Amino acid sequence: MSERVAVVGVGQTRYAAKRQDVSMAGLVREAALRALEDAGMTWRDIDAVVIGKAPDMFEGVMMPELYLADALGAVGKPMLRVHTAGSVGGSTGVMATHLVSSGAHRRVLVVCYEKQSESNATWALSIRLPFTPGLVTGAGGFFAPIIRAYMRRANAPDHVGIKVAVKDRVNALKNPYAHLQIPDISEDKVRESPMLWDPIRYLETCPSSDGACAVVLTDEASADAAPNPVAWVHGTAVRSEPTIGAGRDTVNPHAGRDCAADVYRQAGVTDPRRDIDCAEVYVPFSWYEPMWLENLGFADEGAGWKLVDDGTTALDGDLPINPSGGVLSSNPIGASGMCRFAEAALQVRGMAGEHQVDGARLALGHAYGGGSQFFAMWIVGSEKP
Amino acid sequence: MRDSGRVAAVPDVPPTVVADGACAVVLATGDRARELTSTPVWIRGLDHRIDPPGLGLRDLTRSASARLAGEQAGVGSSSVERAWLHVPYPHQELILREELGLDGVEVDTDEGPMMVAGLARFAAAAEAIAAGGVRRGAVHATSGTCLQQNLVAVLEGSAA
Repeated sequence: MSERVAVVGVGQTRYAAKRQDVSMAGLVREAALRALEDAGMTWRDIDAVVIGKAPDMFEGVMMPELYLADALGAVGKPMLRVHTAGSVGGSTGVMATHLVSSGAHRRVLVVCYEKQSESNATWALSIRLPFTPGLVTGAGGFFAPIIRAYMRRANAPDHVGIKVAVKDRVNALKNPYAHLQIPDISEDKVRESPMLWDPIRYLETCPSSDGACAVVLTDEASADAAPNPVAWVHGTAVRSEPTIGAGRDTVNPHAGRDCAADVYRQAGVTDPRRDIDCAEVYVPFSWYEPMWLENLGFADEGAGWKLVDDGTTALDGDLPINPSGGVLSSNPIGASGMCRFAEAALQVRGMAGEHQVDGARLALGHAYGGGSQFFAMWIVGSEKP
Repeated sequence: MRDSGRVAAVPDVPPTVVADGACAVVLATGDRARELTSTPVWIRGLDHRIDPPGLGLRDLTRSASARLAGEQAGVGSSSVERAWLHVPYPHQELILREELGLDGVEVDTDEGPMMVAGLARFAAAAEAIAAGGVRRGAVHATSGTCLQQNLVAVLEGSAA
């Protein structure tokens, strides 16, 4: 019988293009201290630390967990580093949940970060593989043709991506931590922004952010004693598949569907559209919202874009997606998945502030990484599972 | 590696540290493990601790994290017969012997490629224990500079 696990604290830094006021150590401490404060804890209360970030090449600091051991109060404690590309924020949360549910530890601090201002992610992502042409196009160049394939397959009108881009930036205006704050955001402004990787326009892509996000996970006894409302973990799942392979559906990856089915089964979700109140979904390019709506079973195949078009996924809609503004508004890569998990938790704790979804009781946190081949998800709820 | 200028003065850096290789281990819970093999090797204790990165903050003739991990994993209280240690540099064997309380215990320090070495220690110990030559053994893996981070486990064979 596994232990119940709850999120008892969440801490985020202000996300920004350049956090030159802090080192990497200062950045992770900022998030960790806020999470501890929310949890009513100090470093002393933590049994183990789990850290996640994207590839070491992004900042050129190899095995950063070694350097950050002091800054995260981990000296003399177990410290574990997780690495699954862009999905790492999610899989770090899942790994940490297992440390508590298995009974290995009672109180675990989970911290994810990226300091993109000290990195060149496009360079780091443009590895020349043997026997393949060098692309050197970064993530946008990789995903643009997949988005084109979706648009053709779903017969989706061109403005859907633009609507997502506007919706998430409007939500970001209600999130004081969000990197992009664009008060005059509009469909015209997005449409007129430069085309970067057709069909992805400048304002349909995520920013490069510095930032860190932390959560404190505990067992049931510690959660029952927490000073603030907690979010109970109802299910966690991780799935992977190869980057390339004959018959692989890159638009609607099998691993994503399997991952969702697993987490829904654990949480007792039989109809995600009905049972889940809101979701934080990893959408670094606007079109990935309708694509993941289908992959996650919120819409039938080919119908995801209609939920965007009719306003269902807006903050005041029936199924708010990314009330925080999402990856489109803040993208500290290694932390972006953890932000999704943490924001889902804030929603069911009723602590999301201005971007709170009224009455949110069950929420999904989602992350993907690599060539949409790694998936990590959790479902959190206001009630015990 | 012996030929590179930087480490040429160290005569006994294990040459296998700079090597190619991979290692895989299958883990299973109790009942499933018994179904899969008649000689499962049980993980009786497991702990993983880290020290500060700054060399000036540590006594480099000691390893506090190795000692703590060994105590938590139960090496000292379990009278292990043999220890499989991850020892990137030979003097570290002396430090680890002391911190893990391995007086009189046979030590195996055969290395694998750097990032494989820890799991390779597990594999070597599991193979020896499954074969029946050793009943109870300790496994160690390290990361970072001068034994900064250490994992210690106690493995045990199935009672005949």
